[in-house]
Amino acid sequence: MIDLQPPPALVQMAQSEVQPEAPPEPVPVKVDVTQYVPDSATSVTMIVTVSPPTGTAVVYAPGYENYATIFKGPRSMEEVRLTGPFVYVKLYGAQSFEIQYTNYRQP
Amino acid sequence: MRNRLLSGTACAALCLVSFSGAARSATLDDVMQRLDKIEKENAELRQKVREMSAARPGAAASVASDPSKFKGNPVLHAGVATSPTPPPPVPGMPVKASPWGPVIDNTVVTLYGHFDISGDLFNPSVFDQGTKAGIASNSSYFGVRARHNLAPYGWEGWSIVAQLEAQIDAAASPTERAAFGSRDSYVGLEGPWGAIKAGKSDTPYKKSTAAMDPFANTLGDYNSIMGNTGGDNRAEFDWRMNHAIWYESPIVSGFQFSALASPGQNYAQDNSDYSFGDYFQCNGASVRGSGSNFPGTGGAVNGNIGGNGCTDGSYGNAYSAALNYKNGPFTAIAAYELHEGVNRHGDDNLEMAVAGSGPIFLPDGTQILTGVHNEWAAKVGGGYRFNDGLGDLQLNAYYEWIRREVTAIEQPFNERSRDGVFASATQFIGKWSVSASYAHAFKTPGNPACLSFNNLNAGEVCGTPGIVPVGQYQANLFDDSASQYAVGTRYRFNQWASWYVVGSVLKQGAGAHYCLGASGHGYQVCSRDAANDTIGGATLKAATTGLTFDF
Repeated sequence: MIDLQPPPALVQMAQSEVQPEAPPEPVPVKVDVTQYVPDSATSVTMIVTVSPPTGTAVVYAPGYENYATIFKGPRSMEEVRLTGPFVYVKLYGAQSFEIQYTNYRQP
Repeated sequence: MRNRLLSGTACAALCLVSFSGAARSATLDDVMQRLDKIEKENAELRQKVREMSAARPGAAASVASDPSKFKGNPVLHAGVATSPTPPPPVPGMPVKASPWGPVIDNTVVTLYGHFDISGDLFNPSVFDQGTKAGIASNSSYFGVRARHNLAPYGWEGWSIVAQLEAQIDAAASPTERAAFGSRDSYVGLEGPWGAIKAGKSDTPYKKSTAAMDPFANTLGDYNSIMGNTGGDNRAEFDWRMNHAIWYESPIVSGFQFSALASPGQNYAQDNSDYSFGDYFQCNGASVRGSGSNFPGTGGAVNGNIGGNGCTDGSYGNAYSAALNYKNGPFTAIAAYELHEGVNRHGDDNLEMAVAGSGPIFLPDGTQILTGVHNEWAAKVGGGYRFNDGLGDLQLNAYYEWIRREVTAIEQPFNERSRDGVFASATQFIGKWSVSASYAHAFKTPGNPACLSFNNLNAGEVCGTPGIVPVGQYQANLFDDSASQYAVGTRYRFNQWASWYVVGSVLKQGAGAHYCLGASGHGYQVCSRDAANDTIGGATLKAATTGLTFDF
């Protein structure tokens, strides 16, 4: 007898071509850096710790999302340019974050 | 033409018949075999693609590697070092823009700069000067900062950071002071416990109150008086320290501590020579800039190690520390700085290794004695910011002690010990801000020199006892306190650009000789006549307007 079922390999390949559904865009969290950093600061250096450690945090000043600074988990240090008292934090693959300010720059 | 068409059609029909026959002759097993073969080839290709992707760490960022897609504002970042394979990007996560994406990872290079160019109008109230106009480049700079993230190497939260910064003499003719590395330049290690850096940097003492001055780098700069030892352009406690190592703590509950040490590393025991590594100027002087001693002005013997000409403020080991606190609207600072073995023999002319040395006597018959002694400064202050209905109002104030530890017999010639006070207020109204500041220098114990009368005889030397002086007078017989007033407004186009207008007046006693624009402005407005005689007690006035741009 001839098995007329479609070749399973073809079916599998067809499935691999399907693009996975894009995850929902994370909601940005607003952070006031001027609690500990001078209002006149133009950039702040910070250590961001994310949980779970495989996640990533993206930090940017309002209006500058395209120039965001990426903090890879579990913990990394980077410098973030400021345009005012606030920055936004978006989490990708992470549930929570913690910021430690290490330094800042003024004009 | 018709024959060609017919022959072509016949050929196509034959080919189609032949292909159809071959297809019909294949069994389903043949089809399955071919499909299995295709599947294997596909798997092999997929594996090769994975291997190639793993071999390119920067592949994740390649989407941003096209320079035409990089907008470049407000700051240009670029990675220049390779690293272990990064984790795959999270779906939907933006990739950092970079013109040099293919070589990205773990090192972020930031190009940054600051421009401040002003047009000035000033009058030093000196008999042969009058009102003058000027164009000045005020502490403009360009820098490159690189941060290398060590997290992929097992040092989570740690970075290596390096910075090169140069002054930009956008208005004046550039000199060595505009060389690369002339401003804060260093390499260091940063982590959760703070940062250790080595190179040159503004001292913690200087940085602790920098934000309190709304007129920094203008002709209303508070360094006319604050941190200024003796007047002129001697803001020696508002300093960028060469050959230094320093620690900066992280910010913990609003507190940040920083401390710096700079070895004197001088050829001479009384610090009268160049420091090791500095072959152009004395320690305690900026390159062709501010400070008490620099080539050609009574400082170093040019290009001559062993000349012992650093006798106008050159010092040995230096230490600086500051504790800053900021929590919401409250700020507070405490800072201290020590300069060891500050050589002031330029005032008493007793640096015996210098040809022509010998005692100097003032008109009252006293011999000037200044020597080599420690100098220190300390300051405490604070600020508060609140909304008064018009907008935020920022208030700042601090008190400063500057001391030179001389013996009692040297006190009549000590113009380096005094107190100072500074206060400023800035009212923010939308994109506008209006500021006012006040600085006061209290009287010092003495003065080692003569100052000139504000007249045509200014070049005549000090008179002898019993003779009425006509050109110069003994300064330590007069009050040398001074007060500086400044008001101004600034319009901020955004965080990066602003326009300002500032007016400033400096009033001083007959024994004082402070300048406007010390330590920051493109030049200083001092009470000097055309022959560089120092006029005592002049009232200095200036108005300035300028444009600033940061990137």
